[in-house]
Amino acid sequence: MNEHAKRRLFALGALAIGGAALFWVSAGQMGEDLVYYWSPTELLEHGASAEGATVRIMGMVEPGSTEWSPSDQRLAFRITDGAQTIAVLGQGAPPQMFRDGIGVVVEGELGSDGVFHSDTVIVKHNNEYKPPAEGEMPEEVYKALMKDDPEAAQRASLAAQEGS
Amino acid sequence: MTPETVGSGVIQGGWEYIYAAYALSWVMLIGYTASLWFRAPRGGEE
Amino acid sequence: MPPIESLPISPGAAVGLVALVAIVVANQRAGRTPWALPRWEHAFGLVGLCTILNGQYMGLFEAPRERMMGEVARILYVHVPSAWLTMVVFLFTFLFAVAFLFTGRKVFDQLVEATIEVGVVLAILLQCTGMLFAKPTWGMYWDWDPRLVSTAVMTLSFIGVLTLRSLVVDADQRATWTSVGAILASTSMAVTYYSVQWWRSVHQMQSSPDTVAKPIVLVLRINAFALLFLTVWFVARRWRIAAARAREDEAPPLPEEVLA
Repeated sequence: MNEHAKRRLFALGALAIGGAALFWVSAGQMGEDLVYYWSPTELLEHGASAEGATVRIMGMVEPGSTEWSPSDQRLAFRITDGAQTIAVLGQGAPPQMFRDGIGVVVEGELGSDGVFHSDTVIVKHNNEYKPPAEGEMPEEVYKALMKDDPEAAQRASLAAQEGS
Repeated sequence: MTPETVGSGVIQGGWEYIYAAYALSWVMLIGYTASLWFRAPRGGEE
Repeated sequence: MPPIESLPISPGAAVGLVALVAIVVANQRAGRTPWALPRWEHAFGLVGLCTILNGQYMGLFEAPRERMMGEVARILYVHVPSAWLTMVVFLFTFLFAVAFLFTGRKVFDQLVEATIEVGVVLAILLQCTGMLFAKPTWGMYWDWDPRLVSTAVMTLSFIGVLTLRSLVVDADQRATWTSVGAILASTSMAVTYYSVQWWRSVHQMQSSPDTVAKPIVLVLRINAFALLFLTVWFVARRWRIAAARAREDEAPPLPEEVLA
């Protein structure tokens, strides 16, 4: 076999192996057991067996659920996927983009009390990039939160979302 | 970050990350240009 | 800093004018055509340099703050173009590798070598700017997230192909194995691109002009074209090196004793 034919054979072999690998990966053969995070529903489906295992869960910060006490750096909020809601308790300030209604990934473990004890809060933002709407002051959301008035915070949050 | 800003949802400042990213892009561009320059074929080529 | 329109001259235009004057003066002295360039690719390099100066100026001082990310969104203008160009360059690596194996033409082998190296440089820039973007927005530099891991695997695969290439002595075998390796490594590029759709990732899906406001899209485009021009210049310059080395391999210089 001459050099040229050999190269073509190599090309076809490499393309076949690469294509097969890609198909295998895209068909989800390795994805199911290796998820980066669970949803609250999936975690709670596991019942008591989910307690104590270090996992990540992703959900939306339930509007008005955030309680932050600067004195002891205690952060409490609830995350929801629409069907199930889990109370999260963490230590330390979350990333600055943390707010009502944003997606977050929390890492930690579910306690027997049903509270998810988190040591890491990661903010997951979407692929939208927009300048602030005219006259919009997202700081208002935070001011409303500080007044300890969840309803006002929720209104401000909704107003901010509609402004986009 | 100050604890008071928790929940605002808006990132304040952060210019150190911005300048680091832009500076890094110039380090990479100039660095790679230099590496191409030193390896460029010499004599009769250019 | 004032917006770019209100400057007497934009940074890119200033550098471009100085460069043009320098080229014309140098050519006049050497008695060549005033606008002649030693190589065609330098035109791309010059346009890319001027465009990226303006693009980064706009990205830093003129583009609007993002609603939630504030100023930090300016990192987009270096991060996103490097992501696009990494993918484009590795896509060409794949095409050149297939072309080499099917035609056996040496120029494709040299282009595979050039595009892999430039792609790796862009991928490192991509990963580092991504980390600098992730810290203030997500809250961490690095995590074992599908998008971040697949990008790192892609970069390491192509570095592996370059290492393999440097280890093979025979020129024909080297060319064949580089292309085979490049095709296999290209798999990781496709995985990286689709990782945000196939798996749950903290990285957002690919954005599009529908999800990004117009002034941000404009500055992104300027920076993407700037990096595209610079990338063409890089690949062409790297290809000259590969071509010169191939010529040396074919016609080794006479030993010193013979010349003396």
